[in-house]
Amino acid sequence: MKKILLLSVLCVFLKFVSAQTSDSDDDKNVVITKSTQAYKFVKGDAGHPVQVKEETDKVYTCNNYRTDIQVAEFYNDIESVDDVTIYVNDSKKNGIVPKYEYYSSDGIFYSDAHVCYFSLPLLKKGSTSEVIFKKTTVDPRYFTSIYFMDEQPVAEQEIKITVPEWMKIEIKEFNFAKYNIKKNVSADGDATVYTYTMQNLPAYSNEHDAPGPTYIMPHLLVLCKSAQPKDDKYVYFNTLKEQYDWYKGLVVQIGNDENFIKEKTEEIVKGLTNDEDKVKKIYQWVQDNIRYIAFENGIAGFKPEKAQEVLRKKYGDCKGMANLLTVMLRSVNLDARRCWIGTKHIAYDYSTPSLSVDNHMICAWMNKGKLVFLDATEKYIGFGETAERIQGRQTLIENGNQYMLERVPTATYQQNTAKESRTFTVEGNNLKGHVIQTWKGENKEWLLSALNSIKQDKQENALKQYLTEGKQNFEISNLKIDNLSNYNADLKVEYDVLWKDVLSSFDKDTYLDVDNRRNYENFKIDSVKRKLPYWFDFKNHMIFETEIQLPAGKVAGTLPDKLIIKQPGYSFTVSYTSAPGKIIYTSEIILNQTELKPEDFRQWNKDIEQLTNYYNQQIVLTQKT
Amino acid sequence: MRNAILTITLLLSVVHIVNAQSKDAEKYRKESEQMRQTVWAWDKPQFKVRDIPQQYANASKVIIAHHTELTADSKSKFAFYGLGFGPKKELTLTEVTREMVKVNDKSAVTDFSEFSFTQFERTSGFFSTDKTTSYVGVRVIKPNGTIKEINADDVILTKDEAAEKKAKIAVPDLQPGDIIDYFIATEQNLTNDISNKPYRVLLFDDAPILSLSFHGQLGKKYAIQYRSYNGAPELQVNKNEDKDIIIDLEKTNIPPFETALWVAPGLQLPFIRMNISLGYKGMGSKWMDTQKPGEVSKNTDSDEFIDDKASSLSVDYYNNYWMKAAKDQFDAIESDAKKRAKNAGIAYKDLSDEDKAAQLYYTFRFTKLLNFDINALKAKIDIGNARFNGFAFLLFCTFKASGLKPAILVSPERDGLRMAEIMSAGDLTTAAYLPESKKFFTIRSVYDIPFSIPDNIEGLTGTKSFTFDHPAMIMGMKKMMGLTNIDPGPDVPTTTSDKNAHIENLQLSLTADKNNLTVRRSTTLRGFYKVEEQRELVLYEDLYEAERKAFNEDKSLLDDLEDSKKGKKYVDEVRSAFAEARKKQKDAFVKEAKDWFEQDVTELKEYKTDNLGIRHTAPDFVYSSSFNLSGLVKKAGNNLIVEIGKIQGTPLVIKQEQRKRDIDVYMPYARSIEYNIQLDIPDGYTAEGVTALNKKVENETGYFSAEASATDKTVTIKLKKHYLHNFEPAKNWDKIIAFTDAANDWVSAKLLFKKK
Repeated sequence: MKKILLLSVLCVFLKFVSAQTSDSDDDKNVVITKSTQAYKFVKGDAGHPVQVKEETDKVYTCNNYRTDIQVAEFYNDIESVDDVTIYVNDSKKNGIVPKYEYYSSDGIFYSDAHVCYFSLPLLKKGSTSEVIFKKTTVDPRYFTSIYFMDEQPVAEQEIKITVPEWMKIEIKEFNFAKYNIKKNVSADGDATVYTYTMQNLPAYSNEHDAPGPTYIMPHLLVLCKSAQPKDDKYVYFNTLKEQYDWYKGLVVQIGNDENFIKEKTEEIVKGLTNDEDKVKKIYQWVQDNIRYIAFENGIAGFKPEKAQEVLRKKYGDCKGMANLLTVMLRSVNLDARRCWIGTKHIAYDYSTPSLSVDNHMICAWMNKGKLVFLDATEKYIGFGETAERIQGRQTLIENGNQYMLERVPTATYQQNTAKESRTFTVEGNNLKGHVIQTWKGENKEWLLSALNSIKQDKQENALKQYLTEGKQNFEISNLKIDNLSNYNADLKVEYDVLWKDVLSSFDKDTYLDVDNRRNYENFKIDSVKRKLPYWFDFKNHMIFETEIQLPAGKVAGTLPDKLIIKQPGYSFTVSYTSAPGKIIYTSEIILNQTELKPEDFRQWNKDIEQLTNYYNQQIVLTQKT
Repeated sequence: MRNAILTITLLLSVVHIVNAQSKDAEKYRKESEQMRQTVWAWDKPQFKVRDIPQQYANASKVIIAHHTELTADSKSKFAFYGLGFGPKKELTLTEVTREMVKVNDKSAVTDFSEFSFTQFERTSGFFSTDKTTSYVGVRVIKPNGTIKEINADDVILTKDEAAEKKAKIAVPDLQPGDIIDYFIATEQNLTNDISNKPYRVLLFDDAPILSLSFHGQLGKKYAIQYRSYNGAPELQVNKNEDKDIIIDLEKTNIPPFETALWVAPGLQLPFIRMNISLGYKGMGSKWMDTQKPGEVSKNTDSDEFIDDKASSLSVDYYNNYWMKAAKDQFDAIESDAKKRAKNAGIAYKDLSDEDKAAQLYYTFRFTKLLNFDINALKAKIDIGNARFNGFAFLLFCTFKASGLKPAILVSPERDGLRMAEIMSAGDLTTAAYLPESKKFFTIRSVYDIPFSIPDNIEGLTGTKSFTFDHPAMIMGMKKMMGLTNIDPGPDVPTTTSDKNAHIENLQLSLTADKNNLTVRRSTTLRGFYKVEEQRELVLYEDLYEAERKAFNEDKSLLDDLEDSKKGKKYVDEVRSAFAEARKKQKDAFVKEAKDWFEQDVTELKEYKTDNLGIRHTAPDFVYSSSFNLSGLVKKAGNNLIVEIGKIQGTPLVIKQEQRKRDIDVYMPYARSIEYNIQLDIPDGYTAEGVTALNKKVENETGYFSAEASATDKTVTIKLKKHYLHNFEPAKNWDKIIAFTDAANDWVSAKLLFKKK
């Protein structure tokens, strides 16, 4: 689905061009000393009766040493770049010619995104360069957000939004708390002018595994409600109902060929009588047979492709897959609904009707009044399992002329349990035995995605490489894999292991290091450099159990005390227990939340250190006396 | 689009000549349709095959058929060129490569899921416009035999401008078990282009190929040179009744080739090369590297291409050295070198030729590469990352201008091609050297030193040596292009494993909490192991200052700027930029240590470069630091286990699938990794298991040895892993495995510190 947050795209783009030009990553060398952003709703033409004119003017100052920075502005079918004015040391004669290009981004096959970019020199310490962009957005629905931060720190900024009395908007402020941002509302004739002023905004942090910009950056969400520039009134997203109606209107225009879809669907569910079995079969058929290829050009960013086209092409984007799944389920009399949803990347919900609220589409099966959410873009997740990115997210669900608002249930960490059970006997300095590993939910999806990206004749080798962690002394044989292509069951592997030289004998004693997985060992977060929360990919649950039959005549020495760490978001429990003739080692890691806040980094690091130290304890086998 | 295919087959180079014709979308669509009809109608049995041999049933993909059809036509016209009329030869080169592939799994489907290509490209010259148009056809053959062809509407344009159109296609309805049948056709319209168009047919792929074929038809005015490499079948080249040149090649059942470790493709893998050009015999043809119309040359004598190289260097010599004004720049280097020698208390005139050359080399580097330029501040700070071509010709001229007797070694690179099999002057590399002392000089990075032999020419024999005549008068092209003397070149020595070394001197002790190791580290890098770490760890400012001091110049760069009228204006900027670079150096040291030891590194301090390794008199790159290293210490009751084997990180592993090998082994160079470890025994403990650490596996290809001993206070361990040669015959493969496995086994080595 369309509506990539342009700011996050910009981050990636600038990082890319910066890397290419080896530009400095020091955010203090170049500062935006003055920035003004002016937005004005104006009357347009018959085709686009209301337009938004934008003029941004940024003055860049070089603080320390001369350099070049990359400047980029995005545009598309709705937003145009009308003019760019560039001053270098007050001179317009600087030879800079902006480039205008199609913008290709990972994961999107084709969109209408374009970028205007150029390299802007700052000639020496103390010199300034200035860039003025003029843009027009021809449909207010697409004018949704104004961000205050930039690639460089901003010393002084003014943002002005001029709203004529014939235009109705609502402005929502986000993430203002940490910054001294002043707001003033004044009148300019019949227009209302909203002015935001601020000083000393830092450059935005571009950290990995962090919440999206809507959670972090100070910004405005502009909700365009309605307009009456002349006689006719145009209602945009006055309430969520209007947004739903707009989406629904696009759905009506799709033109699905239900009979064609029905024929295929009946073939897929042939012989099945149970509704749930049918849904499972159809869902996995779409997961397996429809490739994810995203088209986001113009209205195709919002309107799903015809179901029969997706079926013919065997590819589609999230909308195309959700629509196909919906039509397929309906064709065999199952109650399916298209659902619009903003993934976890977006901070908003539908209390603020806007095209910025959602970025994804899924399907829901209404099973006797209970919703089961199906996201066919998750290629290897099971029926009833949901990915972290949509868990707990509010979703706008088709319901005839009305709509339903529900949240996707939040799964527990147990949805994603990865378990490894080993039984070993001791042979000299080696351990020999059998291992069973199972993966559920997103752990299963991760592994299946990795395996399926590998050539099938190399898959077993790759899996062995993964299981042995590339260690030659961990020899695997008799590998059996279950449910490689049944995502509704746990992925399971079983194998025999000869783990060479894992025991060390010194004098009469033997030392043994049981855990070579050492999950989350040294998984520390740089609490000095990192400013933003850390987001784990999904809630996690890892169980590792090993039972070792001791050789006759050997007993285990004093075993390490159990380690129990319990924090609100996670727990680590690791223990050794002794039983007649054997010892049992168990490690259980639970991440029941996916966010680690900066204020918790120190505790996390301390706990990780304890866990690592626990892993660094070996057990001693001594002669029975 | 499969980039690999493009790289392999679309090697017709684009040259700038005349054609001014635009095509609208409709015309393109019609042409495209016509091309598809033609290609799909090919009556070639290999494209009718649908069954895959059982042995490849589990392959990710199988190339059922791969065929290239190349046609080249020309016609003469008369054209007005502004100053008058002249002959105009219009060329049309059309290449169609069609491939039919059985895709058996999701990975293969992903490979063929999307195509992108440049539909149309036009480049304009002064008198000319070149035009290249590409057409693509894709169809999917389902297991039941039904054929689904891609709809032209599925092609989308990502660039739609008059001079260039770029397009993408997402292939519909492609699933595991299907066959994808696609082609890429490229039509080039050129004018007056007599340049050589190199063309290559590779007879290996990571997927099995059931049929690979090539057919070419070149108009009678064309000429061709060709050669088969490394067991590739012979190209069949004949002429038809119209005297057109007909080229054919067919090879069936090519098994997959998957080994990527230590392979020299040009010496080991089968392929065919062709040079195709429009023949020309006329005014100046002797000097224009042209062939006669209709000329067919199999296994062309490599001397022809060596002569091309000689001619090209003759022109360089004439323009850049023989001409007095050009030579001045080299004279200036000598003059500067003499001054710098004097300043450093060296009697330049008393130096041996090779020491003079070294002095010139350092002067060249300091004044041409390391010289400061405020207008290129970032580029200068990043100069350490720059990669140069060796500067053979410039160093040759610098030495010659100083009265030395240098020469230029000319040869294919060590892992490139055999000298007798070159087919282009571009196959040859060069290096400046002094024939009398056989000392080599190259600058591929600012860290290179005189007398070091680059790895790409190590061990070469049968080389050529170029020198240049320097007559007082040069009249005419013939004289100018014939200045080069070609003589037999030297046999190039090969370095030994101790010359390319990574040596870790480590003083290890336990941290106070006995959970980790405290490491005092001094690292010495030698030879080819140096440059990548120098790029990471050495600062431009340090590099500049080290050389400045070596030249005995008093003032630092910053002081020098401070004292100059111009420099004073921007010295603060330079200071800030240098300070920022220095701030990042700590992160570089941490990263380097983490990457090397593959363990967490904390508390890094006392990090510094001790010797930059940029002078032949002190060639080792030495750096040091201290830090805490995790992951090696385990507690075991009252005792401690030190997993000392892990200090190696993960040594190179010859993977299971790489263990059978029947082709020779081309490694980059002989090399060694050594650890000299002093491990403190903590008070109150004794060390056990020291004797068991000793190990040695040695054979003619190399060795791994671990020698351990202990006193009451310290355990001393010396680890050595040496690859003795840069080449081993296939029969020695098991011997390489023997000592690399021994190094891997030693990763499990442990010591016990037992509580007294």
